[in-house]
Amino acid sequence: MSDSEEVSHVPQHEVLLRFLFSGCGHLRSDGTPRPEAFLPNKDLQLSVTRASSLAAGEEWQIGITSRDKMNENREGKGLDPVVLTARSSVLCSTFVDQDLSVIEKPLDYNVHHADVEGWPIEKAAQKVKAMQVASKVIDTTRP
Amino acid sequence: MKLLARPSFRRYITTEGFSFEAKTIDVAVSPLTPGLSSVATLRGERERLLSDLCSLVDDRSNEDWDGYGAEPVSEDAFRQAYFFIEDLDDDVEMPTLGAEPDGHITMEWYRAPDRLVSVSIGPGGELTFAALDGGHPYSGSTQFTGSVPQTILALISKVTR
Repeated sequence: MSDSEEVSHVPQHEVLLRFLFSGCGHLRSDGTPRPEAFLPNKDLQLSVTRASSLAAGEEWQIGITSRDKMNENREGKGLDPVVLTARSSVLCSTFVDQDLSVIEKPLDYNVHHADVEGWPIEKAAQKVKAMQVASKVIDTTRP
Repeated sequence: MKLLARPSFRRYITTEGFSFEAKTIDVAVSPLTPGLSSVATLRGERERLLSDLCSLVDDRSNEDWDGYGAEPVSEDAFRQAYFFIEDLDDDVEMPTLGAEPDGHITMEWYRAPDRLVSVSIGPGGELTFAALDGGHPYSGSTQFTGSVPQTILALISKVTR
């Protein structure tokens, strides 16, 4: 990103959704999410969706649309389709409290998309932050 | 191909102590010897965990298994996790398993959202651990060289006591 591009931070009071795909490996037997669900990808980003402006029912529709988009790409690579298994709700301030930033990153199929950025390179530090976030999840539901 | 069908993985599952014969002996002695029945339970838990490990690796051995670009869990990571679990003493509670976006395998000891230990192991035996004890964080990294580091055992004991 060039210096001239503006970065829009998501307001701290907003609720964010983290969609979980493929099996229940990120959920414990009691339905709570494991910290792995909140670790960043190799680009040090964690994909989330802003929920505050969504209508009832629209949350799951975004998860379904994201799943379908992923599966379109996977089909071309010969990969098995992913399954939408759950979504966790987290306050934006929970990430900010861990010195992370939540940046608006709208996609063509999800204008409410955002990325959690600012993750440390050290994996141990990432794990602690993911653990702190997982411990403050508001709720986790299945479709 | 399923991992259990691969010769390299079948070899681990038939390691001494996890064979059908060993299980039969445990079950046979347990009604007469209460002390040994707990040993049988522990062995059963470990056997279940190793079975879970095979399932986990089967499910996560493709690229992008989480839809967000995760790395596949490799056979080398499986081997490292297998030997880590094998080396846990019988008096250590068995963890539950997961996988991380970089393809490392996680072992979790969980009491509550703010009281847990998570240890991840990579294909080269890289160990990364993090814990919350009443919300107080601990973390670090080290190398697995065939025996579970005392630092990690102490952390598990502290958090699960």
